[in-house]
Amino acid sequence: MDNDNITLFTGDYYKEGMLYAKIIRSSIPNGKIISINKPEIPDSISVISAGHIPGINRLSVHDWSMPVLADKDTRYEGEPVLLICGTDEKEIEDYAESIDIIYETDYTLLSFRNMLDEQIAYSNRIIKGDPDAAFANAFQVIEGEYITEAQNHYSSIPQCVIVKYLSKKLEIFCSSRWPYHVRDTIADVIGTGKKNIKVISTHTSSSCDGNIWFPSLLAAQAALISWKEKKDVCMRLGRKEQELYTPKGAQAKISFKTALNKEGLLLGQDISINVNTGAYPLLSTELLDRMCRNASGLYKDSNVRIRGKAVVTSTPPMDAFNGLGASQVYFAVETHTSRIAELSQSDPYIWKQANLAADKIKMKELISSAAAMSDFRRKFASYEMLKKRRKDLTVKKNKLRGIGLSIACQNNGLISGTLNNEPNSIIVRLDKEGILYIHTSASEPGIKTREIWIKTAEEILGISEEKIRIIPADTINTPNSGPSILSRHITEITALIKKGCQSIQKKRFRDPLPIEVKRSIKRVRLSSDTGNNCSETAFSSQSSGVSVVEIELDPVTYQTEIRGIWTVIDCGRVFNKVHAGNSVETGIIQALSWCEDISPMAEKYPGFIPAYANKIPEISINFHENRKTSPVSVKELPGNLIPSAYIAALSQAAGFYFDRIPVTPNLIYKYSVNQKLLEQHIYLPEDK
Amino acid sequence: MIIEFQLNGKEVSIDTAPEKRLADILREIFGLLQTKTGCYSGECGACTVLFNGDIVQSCMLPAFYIKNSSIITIEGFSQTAEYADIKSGFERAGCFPCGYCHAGKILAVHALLDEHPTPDDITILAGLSGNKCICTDYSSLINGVKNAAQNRKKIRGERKK
Repeated sequence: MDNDNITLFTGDYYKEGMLYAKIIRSSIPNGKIISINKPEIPDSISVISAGHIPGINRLSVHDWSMPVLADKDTRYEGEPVLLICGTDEKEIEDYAESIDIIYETDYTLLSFRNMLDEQIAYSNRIIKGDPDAAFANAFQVIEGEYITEAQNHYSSIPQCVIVKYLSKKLEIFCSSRWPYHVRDTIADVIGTGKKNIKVISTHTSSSCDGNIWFPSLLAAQAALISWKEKKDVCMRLGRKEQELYTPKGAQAKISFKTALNKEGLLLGQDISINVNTGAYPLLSTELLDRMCRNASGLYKDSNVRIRGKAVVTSTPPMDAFNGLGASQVYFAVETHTSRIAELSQSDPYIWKQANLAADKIKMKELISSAAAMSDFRRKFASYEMLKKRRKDLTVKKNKLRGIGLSIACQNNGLISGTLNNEPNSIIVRLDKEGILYIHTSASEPGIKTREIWIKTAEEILGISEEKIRIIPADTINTPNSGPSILSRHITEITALIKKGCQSIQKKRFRDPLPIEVKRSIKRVRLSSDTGNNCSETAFSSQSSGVSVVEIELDPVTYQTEIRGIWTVIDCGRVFNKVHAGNSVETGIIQALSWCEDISPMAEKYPGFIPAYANKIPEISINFHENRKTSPVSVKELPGNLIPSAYIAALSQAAGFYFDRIPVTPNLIYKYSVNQKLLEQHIYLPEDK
Repeated sequence: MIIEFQLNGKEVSIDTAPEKRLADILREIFGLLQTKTGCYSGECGACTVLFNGDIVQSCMLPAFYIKNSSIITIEGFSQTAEYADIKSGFERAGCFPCGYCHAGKILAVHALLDEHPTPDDITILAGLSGNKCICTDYSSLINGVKNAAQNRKKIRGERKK
């Protein structure tokens, strides 16, 4: 969007006379709204409550919904209750301070690990083979429980929505990855036709960062004001609001019970997943289904029982982050298998290869390659010997080293019609001047993805780059290409562009120009009882990889330093190895920031700092490319690989197991002094 | 309070509260929106500007402090040849910072190259440690800075001739 001919972020936009909006939020985690006491409203200010909503007071994602403004009940602290708007931001702030809302508090549901039945919003169950028989025949059973805390945003870009009022039509500017969802939500809330709403996607973070459904909520609130007041509106979240009330990546607790035979090989598994969806479980179906399908990792799963529960708590709703649950699950399964390897007195390099699922045998090549790059086997044996020789972490003065190895895949494409019941489409048009237009509502692709799209079209049609235009996404001029998540840009959208260009190529010398074709993706639908693992065609494409992380732990300060990261990735065609390597490296750094979690709390700082990595280690990346296949995305793969490899390395260095992410020096200290935790499954009590 | 200072090479004068942050002054009074605000605590580097030639976090500078000083924002810096060096260096390395941290990173690189015309990797990372956005990888960032250093050296060499 433009302001004085400079393309800026939504939050930079300003127009004389536009209304600013502030959200008044619930101050209790769960309860009823008894009364709202507000002083006389000045003429320059408007106050909007749920009662002013002309349409439906709901934002929906498939079967789930939440109110746009809380009406009689509030289910989390920070839930929007009122909207205040005016032209003077300071006046709005002052008036907001004078509003007093009386609540009747109810019990709060904060725990998703030990929950009540009423908290279970959705559950899934997958059973393959006969896990009970496997446990009956087991030589050894190993249990573990693993916890991933909420993922923070990677991007600093603040949440902001601009609404332009155009005589009973609205033009919405917001950084949503799902502009058609924004349109549909607003149309329902203000009770107007979808044709009256035009949503234009503005610049957004390259990571999901909670921009799937949350921008729709903000946009619906801003649109409500604009529709009522018949003016342009700017709804901009403050930094503290951004930190406290925007969705984070879901917390999870994943428990394993694993049956092994005498040789330490997998016989069967019983896996339980609890994922915290927050107060409203909007994405719980897709999230939990994906987690369940990935729960056994890349290992043998002939006898497995997986039970998943999406748990509602009195906290702000969670959203999808990179991997849509895969990073949580891979952390758990890889940490658990590293632990099994150690308890079996086995090198994880050997154990993981020996227990791969039959259709994952090609992973052996990647594991060998990563181990060779990093000298994993020699280092692992050396550090293991050093670990066994020392009695206690606290007596050692020199830095301690450890090395961990993990394997994972990245699955792209949605499992079912959860997030979009319509086929996702693009339009490709070749006009008389020989210019190719690509119309997709996929969010801004970024330079690297744009390069892939353009090269795809170039190769098929023989058109130069200068004659290829990618039309910015909006809900009037571009077809519904579905939500921009799970690397669908690289996988599904690229495949659609390829199909569209191939169709045009067939027609271009026999049909007159312009030629326009529309191509749509066929959704693979699976029932939740099929017991499929991630190798089956639930997903449109898959990339896989192996990572090795070597760390050094200071036994005095409990600070860690990463000595090196080696990653080998099996992907399809790589258009530009430098760009692909850069994407993977960015993913690695982002994954490291989740491991260490140094983003400060909002109470301490007035603003917001996204998660960042403490130090930048040596990173080596190798691609096993297959030029005959389509490109697959790799950026989210490090999120599935790095945390478990990091924890495995830390566990070896420290001499005891860690079972959670993130890990701070304070946590290492707690683990090291509490001897009881060394003897059992390591998990902390509920208090932090 | 009347504050007079030089902004992007021009003399300006404003009447503002003495404690108002420079970042807010630039955005709200002068409409220079490419200086972003992030943490408001001097941590993230999104609000970086040049203050008398040194990089500072403008969210931490109150108005009274900038009296009679020279402030250069990314808008002013983008008109210079040094900006072109850095931009082309980044592009050649495939480094594309997001629009939000772009200004901070560019100015930090400029300040770094002024002090260290041929920085090594460690110096580069240290010089950029005040810019906390992780939208891009560090390999391309380091290569981008080295390319910019080469560009700058080349142009300065040509100027000397």
